[in-house]
Amino acid sequence: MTSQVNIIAVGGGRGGKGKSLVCTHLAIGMALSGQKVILMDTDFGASNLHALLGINNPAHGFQDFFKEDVSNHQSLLIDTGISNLKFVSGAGDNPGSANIDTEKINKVISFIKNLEADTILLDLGPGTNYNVIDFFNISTQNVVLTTPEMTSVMKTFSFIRSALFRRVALAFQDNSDIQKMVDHSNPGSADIEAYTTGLLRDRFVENFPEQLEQFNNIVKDFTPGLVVNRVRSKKDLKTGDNLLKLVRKFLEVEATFLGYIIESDSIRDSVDEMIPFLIKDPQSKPSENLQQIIGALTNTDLQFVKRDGRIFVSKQVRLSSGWEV
Amino acid sequence: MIEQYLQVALEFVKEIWFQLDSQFGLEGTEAFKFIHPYLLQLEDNPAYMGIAFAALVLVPFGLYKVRSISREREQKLDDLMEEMEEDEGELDENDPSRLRRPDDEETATALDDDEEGDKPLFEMEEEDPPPYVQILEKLDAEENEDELHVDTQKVMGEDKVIEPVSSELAELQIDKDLSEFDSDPVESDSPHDQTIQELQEDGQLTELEGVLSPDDPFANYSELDDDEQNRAIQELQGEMESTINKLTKQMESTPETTSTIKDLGDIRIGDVATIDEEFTLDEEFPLEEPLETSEPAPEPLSLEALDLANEIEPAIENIEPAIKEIETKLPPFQPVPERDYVIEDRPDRQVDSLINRLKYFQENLDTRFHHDEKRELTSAPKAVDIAEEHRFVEQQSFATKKAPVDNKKYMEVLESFIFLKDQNKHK
Repeated sequence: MTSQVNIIAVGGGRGGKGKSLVCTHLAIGMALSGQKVILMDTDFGASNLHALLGINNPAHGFQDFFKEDVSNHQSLLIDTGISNLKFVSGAGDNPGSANIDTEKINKVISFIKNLEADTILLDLGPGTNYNVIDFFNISTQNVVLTTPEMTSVMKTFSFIRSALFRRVALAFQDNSDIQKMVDHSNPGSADIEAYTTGLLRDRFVENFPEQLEQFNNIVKDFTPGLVVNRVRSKKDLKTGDNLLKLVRKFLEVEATFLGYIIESDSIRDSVDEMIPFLIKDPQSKPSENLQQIIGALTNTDLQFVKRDGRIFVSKQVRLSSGWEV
Repeated sequence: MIEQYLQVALEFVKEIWFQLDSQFGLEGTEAFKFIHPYLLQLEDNPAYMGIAFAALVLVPFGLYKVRSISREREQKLDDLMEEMEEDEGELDENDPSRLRRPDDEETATALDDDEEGDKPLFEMEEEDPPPYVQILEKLDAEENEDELHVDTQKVMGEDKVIEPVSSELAELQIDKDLSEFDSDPVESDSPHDQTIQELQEDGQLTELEGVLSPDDPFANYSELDDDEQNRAIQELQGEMESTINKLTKQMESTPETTSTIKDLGDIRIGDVATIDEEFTLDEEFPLEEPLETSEPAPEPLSLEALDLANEIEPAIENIEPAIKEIETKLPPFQPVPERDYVIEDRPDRQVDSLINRLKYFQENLDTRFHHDEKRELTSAPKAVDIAEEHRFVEQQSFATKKAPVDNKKYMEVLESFIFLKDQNKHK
């Protein structure tokens, strides 16, 4: 059964940007706003989402995805203690788990697509290997995360390019010449001259004009959202703007800016305490930042208020652009 | 039975807790989360619960008790201090006998206090003043024109004359009183012994610090015969008189000093007050010498110190507000007890206090001066080091690259990091 489930994948290339934290809080925020959310840890080999949620010794883990007798995928869902939020753990992963083959990745992807929820959030591992990129590309909404450091911006750019080129590669699996241009996993035979979307398009125009439209559609449909994490100043925010320009210039991808999260000790404290900061203090500045990001993703205006230990949600759905028409 | 009581008590506590929790949402607080596991342990183990209850009662009670004891002691100390100050206030600060033994005032006062509760040992009749008082009176009579003594008599009055000015002198009297039980009272009351006693004490008085010199003719008094004793007494008396005259002259003479402490009036305290902003070596150096001249003032106040203080006073009065202002700006010092004294009507304490304050002021300025001096000294070679390092870096062809502020340059740098040297077709 394939439902119209919204899959949001949070990636970013480099490790340590805060992908898991942001992904977890996006899931919590959406769950608190009333959606049925499943949070899934796909950072095989280094899963840690259960720790962020404060779940000790998860009942299920990485190995359970590949058991033949798992008939009901819902049975792998772990209760988080937060209304509407279930969790699929990747815990119990052994060394080498990150290197599972494509067949197993497809099995997991199939598992994800069969989950019943309004939204599924995927926490991706670091890097740009296909195991990560493939999870990123199955999502309906792509979120890329960066931090203001230049190295982080570079990695995020590389991640977006890898995701785009992987999309093209998967779309033209039967065409070996196109594969050589977009899949550089075999450097000896790869055509490394087409390293930007413009150069790739030139090759398509020259060699594969009949596939050009499909190629253009792939590029056009790829609209990742950008979140800048650990922002300390306006100057830091500009790095996000620079990344968007860079992506537009070299990849012709219209990425959107979803928002930012400020650097705060309260975030670090919440990780140490294993209490999500959105629940601990929904009116803190990082929580407000997160609410704006959720608002941008869900096209709503959210506001969380904590009174007497209970969290209240104010939700206003934004009108679509139909009014302008 | 006890269990039932405990059960009722627990239910009562629970009820209170539920009410409080519903009112204030205590369960969500950090503090509750922290103590929650401990509370569970308490609930499970009656021994822990008992210890907890005992601790809840005993610890605050112990704290209260400790606090109250210390408060009582402080109160007693304050009372004693007040009493001592009152007694001191009644004495003439210009009395030379006080100047000779400033440290003994407290002992004397303490002795006075003791006399009330321990009369058999320390009882002294006013009609029969002690021998040292007699000798002081004799000296006063001889030097009627001595201004200091006139003032002393005026201020101290007749009653205060009998008070011991020195604890050691008083102790001698005590010893004498005690010895009355052992020795023949006729001997101790003889005029000869009395005179010896007087001279002993006066001999001590000639030494400002109370230390007898090794060649004191009175040192081996008991071993001398009558003639030698008389001669020693006369020598001592003469020496004492000359010393007193010398001291009196010294006090009467107008101080025409060459001390540079007068220059304090010229010190631009305003500049020093803003030392943080406008600290310069030129402003600091003049302070060094004048203030140092005030430093050697001895702690037991001597006449020289008094003279010095008389000189300092006008200058100090000028800089007093500035010092206060500086003190508020400067980092906290160790407390200066002298500051608490009433300065106006106690010249010796005033001088003492002011000298101490000047000392602290000087120390602080010195500290700052040396600190800044060090900083300057260390910063100068540092600059050289940086230059050296810079040269070294240049030699190694390293350049300190910083992320450019300009967006265009930032993008260029970013592109240069992303693409290879040959990958320039996109441009």
